[in-house]
Amino acid sequence: MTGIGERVLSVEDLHTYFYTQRGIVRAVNGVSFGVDRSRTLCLVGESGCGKSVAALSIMRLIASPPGRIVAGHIRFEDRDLLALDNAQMRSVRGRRISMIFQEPMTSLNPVFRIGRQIGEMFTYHEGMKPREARRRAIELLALVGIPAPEKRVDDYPHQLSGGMRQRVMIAMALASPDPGLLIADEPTTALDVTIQAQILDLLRDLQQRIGVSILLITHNMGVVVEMADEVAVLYAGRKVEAARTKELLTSPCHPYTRGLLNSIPANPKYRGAERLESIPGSVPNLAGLGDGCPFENRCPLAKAVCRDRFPAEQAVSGTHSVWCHFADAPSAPGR
Amino acid sequence: MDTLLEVRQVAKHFNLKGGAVLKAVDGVSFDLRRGATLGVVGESGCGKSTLGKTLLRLEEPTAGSALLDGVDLFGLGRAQLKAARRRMQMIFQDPFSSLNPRRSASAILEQPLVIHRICSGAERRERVDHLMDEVGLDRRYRNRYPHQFSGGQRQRIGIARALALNPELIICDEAVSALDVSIQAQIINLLLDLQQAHGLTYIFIAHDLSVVEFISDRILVMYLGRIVEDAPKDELVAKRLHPYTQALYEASPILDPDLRGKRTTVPGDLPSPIDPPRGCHFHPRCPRATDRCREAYPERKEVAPGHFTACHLY
Repeated sequence: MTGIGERVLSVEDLHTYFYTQRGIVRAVNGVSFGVDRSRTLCLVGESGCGKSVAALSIMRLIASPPGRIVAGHIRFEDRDLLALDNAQMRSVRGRRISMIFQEPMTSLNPVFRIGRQIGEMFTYHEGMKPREARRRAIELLALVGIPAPEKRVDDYPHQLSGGMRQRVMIAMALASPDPGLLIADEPTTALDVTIQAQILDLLRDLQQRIGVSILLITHNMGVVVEMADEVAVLYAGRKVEAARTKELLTSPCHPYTRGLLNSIPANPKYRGAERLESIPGSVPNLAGLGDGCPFENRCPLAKAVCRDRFPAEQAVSGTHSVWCHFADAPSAPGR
Repeated sequence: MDTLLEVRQVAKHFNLKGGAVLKAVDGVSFDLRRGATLGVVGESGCGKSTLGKTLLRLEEPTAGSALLDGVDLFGLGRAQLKAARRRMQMIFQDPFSSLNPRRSASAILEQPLVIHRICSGAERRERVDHLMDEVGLDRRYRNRYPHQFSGGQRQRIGIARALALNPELIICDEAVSALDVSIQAQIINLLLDLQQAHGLTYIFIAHDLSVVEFISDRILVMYLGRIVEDAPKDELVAKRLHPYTQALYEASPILDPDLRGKRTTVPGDLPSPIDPPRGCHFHPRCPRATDRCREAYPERKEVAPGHFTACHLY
């Protein structure tokens, strides 16, 4: 294994479309991003921005039909995942790239004890004996902070709280001896806030201890602030801004990013304020979307050119880019 | 002070199979000023939603009283209760399951007017158009069905329905929790505009402390059926006294990356409300718990004018 900072995953110009009766939904429409070793990239955005479809594309879990990855490259370490056959992909999934989801109850099998579900990782991928796999499962439960793991290993999922179930999912995701990438899709969205804080602490702590790289998908800017080294902001299938976390928060350039940060009541600017600065309108129907900027119909800066073509990348700094025709316009709304 | 609602020692207990009792709400008291917003915040199982439903008698209370302009809602018979409900309405979390999918927007908005025999014919249609204008829905969409609207628009329908009877009190139960953040901000602003225009009084129930702190005048923090702290908003923001209030604040999302990993996380799970810990319910997770906390539930004390907390530390 090589050093921190080396690129582990690189997604280039990914296009994932869904062919529906109402037309072609370009759920991911030319998105690129990369995750470096032992670091965390957050994909942030609201419903329909394409963040979950991007994650499922990496895992090659897009239901087809109606979905299809129509173009792009997904490079993990030195392999192009889109070129692998199904058997090769199965050896990557779970073993080198793991995924955890929002609702841990639906991701766990309700009729098997959790120890067996974690141990399956070892019996399937490593050919380990059940007794040995059970011992490893107990170790992993301890690693993710489950009290009395030697007892809990025999529990069924319904006997655990939501937070404990998510810990079990994380244990399963890290069961591999060589976890390369953890994809976490809204891992704390279904949890209470004090439990969310515990799970985020756990993910940060595990990253430090075992060096796993994390691709975190969230709608919650607060989670981004807690977790991300880098952030990509998605809107309606497009990446509109990407930066280091602090840069994005202190100098957001895209009108959508600004609007998103302004929509959050926790924004310190709202202390004592009477109203929030909200973004008007709602997300457009992806099936009818043209080639322009998808934010055009809600954007305070939009002009005719925005409807015609999606802007090219504009570098704000070496680590900060924005995709907007008018991001540097003097009338841009400030934070 | 012009008090609209006076709530005293409200309890709602559920009898479960096997003789267990779930004390969802256990001795909650507060006063609510006309035109003000009371925020109720807490996590799963704290009783905040049951409290809202019990006040409207969508759940029958086990004990206590709730005086709306001096009249105890808990003592009303059927006919009187129906009349009282014209004055108090509710907005729910999920704008899909709380709207009948087989009824058009206009039918949904007409229904309260029909039930309470407010108006009919052209007058009723006019009232529906007016309600749609007020919540920012295009009148031309009046014949559309819930599935043809976005989540934010559906929540606007739910708000318009709550407004249909010109109520004085609206209970918002996680009314913005299911919405995308940019839509959430629109709906919060709408609720504030409507409050100003109609002099509405709100009980705003939510799990998100920052939303509650933005919208409320007074805040009540609940944990496992009981109020652990309540205070005017500015007072609470300046001095969070109860260790649970502090824990909730420390766990709430903020936008300052310099504080990453530096905030305190309380350990442990939320206990089951069926079998809450003895003494102070929060003691097993509390960083400052002492023997006293394990034995006796602390009395609610006024520690500053209007600022109450139930904690042995104070």
